Amino acid sequence: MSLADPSTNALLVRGVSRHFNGLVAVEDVSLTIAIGERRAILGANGAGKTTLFDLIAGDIPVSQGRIEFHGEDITNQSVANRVARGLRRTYQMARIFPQLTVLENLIIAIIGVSKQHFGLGLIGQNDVRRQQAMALAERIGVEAFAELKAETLSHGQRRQLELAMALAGDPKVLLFDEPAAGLSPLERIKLTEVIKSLSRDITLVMIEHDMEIALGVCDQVSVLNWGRLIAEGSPEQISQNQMVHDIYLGRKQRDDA
Amino acid sequence: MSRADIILLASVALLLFLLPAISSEFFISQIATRVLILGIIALSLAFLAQEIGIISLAQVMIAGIAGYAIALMSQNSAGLGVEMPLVVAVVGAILAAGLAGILMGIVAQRSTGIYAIMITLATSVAFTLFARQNYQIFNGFDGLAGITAPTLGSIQLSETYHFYFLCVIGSLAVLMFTLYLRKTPLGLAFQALRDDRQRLAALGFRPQRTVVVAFGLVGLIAGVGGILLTWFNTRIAPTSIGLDVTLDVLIVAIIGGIGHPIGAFIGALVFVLLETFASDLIDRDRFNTLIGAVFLIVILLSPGGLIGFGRRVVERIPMLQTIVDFITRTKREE
Amino acid sequence: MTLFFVVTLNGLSLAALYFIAASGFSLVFGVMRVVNMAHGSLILLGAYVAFDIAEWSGSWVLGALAGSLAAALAGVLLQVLFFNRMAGSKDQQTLVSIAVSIIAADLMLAHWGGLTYQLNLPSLLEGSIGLPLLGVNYAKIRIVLIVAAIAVGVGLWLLIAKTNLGRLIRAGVDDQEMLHALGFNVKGLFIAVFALGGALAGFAGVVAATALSVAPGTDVQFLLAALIVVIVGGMGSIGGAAIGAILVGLSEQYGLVYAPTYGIVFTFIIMIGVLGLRPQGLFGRGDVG
Repeated sequence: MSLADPSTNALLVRGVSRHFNGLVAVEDVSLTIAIGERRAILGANGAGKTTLFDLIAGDIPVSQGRIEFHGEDITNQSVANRVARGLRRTYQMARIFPQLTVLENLIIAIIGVSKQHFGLGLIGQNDVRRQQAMALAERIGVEAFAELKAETLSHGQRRQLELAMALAGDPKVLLFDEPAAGLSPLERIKLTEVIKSLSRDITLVMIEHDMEIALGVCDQVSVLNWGRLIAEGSPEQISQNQMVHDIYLGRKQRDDA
Repeated sequence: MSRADIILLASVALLLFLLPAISSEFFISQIATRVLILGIIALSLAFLAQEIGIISLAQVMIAGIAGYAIALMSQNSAGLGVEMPLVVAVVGAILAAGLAGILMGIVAQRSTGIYAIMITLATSVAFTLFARQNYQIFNGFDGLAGITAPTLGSIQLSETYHFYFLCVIGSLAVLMFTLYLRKTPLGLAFQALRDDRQRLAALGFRPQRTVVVAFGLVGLIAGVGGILLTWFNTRIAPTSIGLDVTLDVLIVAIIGGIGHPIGAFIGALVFVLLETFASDLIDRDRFNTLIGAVFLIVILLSPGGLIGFGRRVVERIPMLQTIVDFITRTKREE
Repeated sequence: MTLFFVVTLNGLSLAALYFIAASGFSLVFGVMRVVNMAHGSLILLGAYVAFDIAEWSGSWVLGALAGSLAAALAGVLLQVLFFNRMAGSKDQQTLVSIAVSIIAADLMLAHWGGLTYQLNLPSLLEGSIGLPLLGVNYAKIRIVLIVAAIAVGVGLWLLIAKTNLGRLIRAGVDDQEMLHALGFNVKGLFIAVFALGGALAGFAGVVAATALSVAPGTDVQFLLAALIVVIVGGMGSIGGAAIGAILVGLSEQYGLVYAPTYGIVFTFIIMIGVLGLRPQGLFGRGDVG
């Protein structure tokens, strides 16, 4: 395990806000996430978690604030530039390319982080990109479906595929949006294993409703409510925080009951 | 290219090269040659529709730009342009079409769906109107005439059979190009773009650049068709690239089906046969009603075109499916 | 200076015609997200039928009514026969309407021939009126045209903003399933919208045949004008269509007078420019995929 320079953070979010036609989605949120950290973002539906991911990934511009990635200001960088720096994300509803095969989905993710977006060389059977894609498929456990069209995959398999796509290339920061949602118990175990096996050079930020996974793999937890950051701390501190309990964990337990 | 594609292409090539032996000169010059030229231009539309999901009605215009380019770089009746060596003229004309494709792509890079249809249609109409008004380059309404296919050594390409073989080679070349492209990083990026443009961006791509490149590549295909069309008609004029021609090419691409590149040529075959023999079916003047009705029926009953229809037939008839499987599988074991 | 004002007035009266032609197209798109490429055919049909009935009855008003009604009926048929069955696929609907427009153009050519038709002006609208300040006479019909376009625009705005039908229409745009669940007759609503869109197309045809003339090719000409107007203004926005029509009408007339050779290309350049900067048009909502 290599410990990175503690003076730089993986992700620094400073006073970031996002308004949609006067509606506040994210309001003055600041996060400091160290390199190698596993951070969980909790919050009820509509708390602004996914919007926060959209802002960090660059899918939508911030209304206010600043975002730094490994010490560099990326607030006004394009999505493509953020990906090139090592930022990857998954989506709340898994977004894959349904008409491509599972392997082609992974190959396109590998091409995306390479400099060969307009490559005209044939991708043969022994192509290195194909082998990398196969390795990713095996790592995440979807190798059996490699040659099937991605549209034939189950909900859980799609999520796994998307996760594998995010691992393509050399990711530095991963934003996982509810990676365990809709997964079978077996798939959840596999997911936890994959996350735990990630190199500590990689920083992970995760929105997750499954408390077992979120609190099991994460060192730090941030809680959002109505677009604002209301609590931050270790999993123990957060599960004992009365306010978080009232707004989120309590409600969640009632829902589960 | 998959095994099935190689077998298909080889059979088509064999059939096309043997065709002159079993058919009349009329069939070769008035049907087969026209099918191939129309097929190439329709393929540029169908390929774009299939791979990146954008229907471009600018492809006839782009073919026309190659036509004007080759005319201006050859001897022509209007005495416009500069005569160039054959290789320069042909390569130059294809590149001009590629450049026109790139420019169209830049204009349409953010548009999808019906907006892309409309912006390409409007651009194409604007270009036709411009060519009709401009006499310094395009010689206005009359256009440029007297452009004959060149002579290569002792081979006169304007001769019926020689020109036909030239079109066969051109068609096979663009077919192979499109089938090859599918298995390259660029081809994969096209298909991913069609499925989910924003998702492609989240993988590090700049989708708008990929769209522009796609327009440029299909511009090259249209350019090949445009040169052949101009040589075939020995002229290029605004009427060769008007709205009715654009709609004909759209009909050809949709009738054939945009599931496989060969569909464009099947659509072209149906179109040219109907056009040639319509007078036996209905009043010659009502050809547009006939082709419009065929177009309508295909869209309503088989959105995948004749290609999609053929696939469904094969799937429904077990024996045919077995034969298809047999052919492709035995080849795979070799 | 006088020339400039006259050209501007010409541009505005052309804009008025384009607005009427585009409003039905835009309405149908706004409510149902259907791009009806056969809208030009409805315009030409309205003009032809109006001519026949006006000849037969000797009344412009009867002709205009019949023309609008015929196009409304044709619009309803399009919805019932085709668009209704393929609500999901926008590209497929567009292709079907292109096929219908090809067939319709050919059948109308077969029936009405290649002649140019012009509707005789009602005597009330003949002649010209002196324009104050400018000291020129200007054709009455062109002034009436501008008034008619404003009336159509205001009428549509009132319909959509102030009536129950309008509320249904606006709700239909945003949430068709909800409407259906609430027990509203969505099917009937859509037929009504198509009837209204068709009637507006037919009326545009009547106006075109009265102020100018119509012939085969008029369908394509007005379809393109309508397309460009709503692309520039933004699909589905009545106000956008008005702005788009004014831009297109003025640029076409200024182009004709001040740059006669390439004037016709100006319009397209405006459109390409707008689309390049704002793919959804000046006033579009940007939810068209």
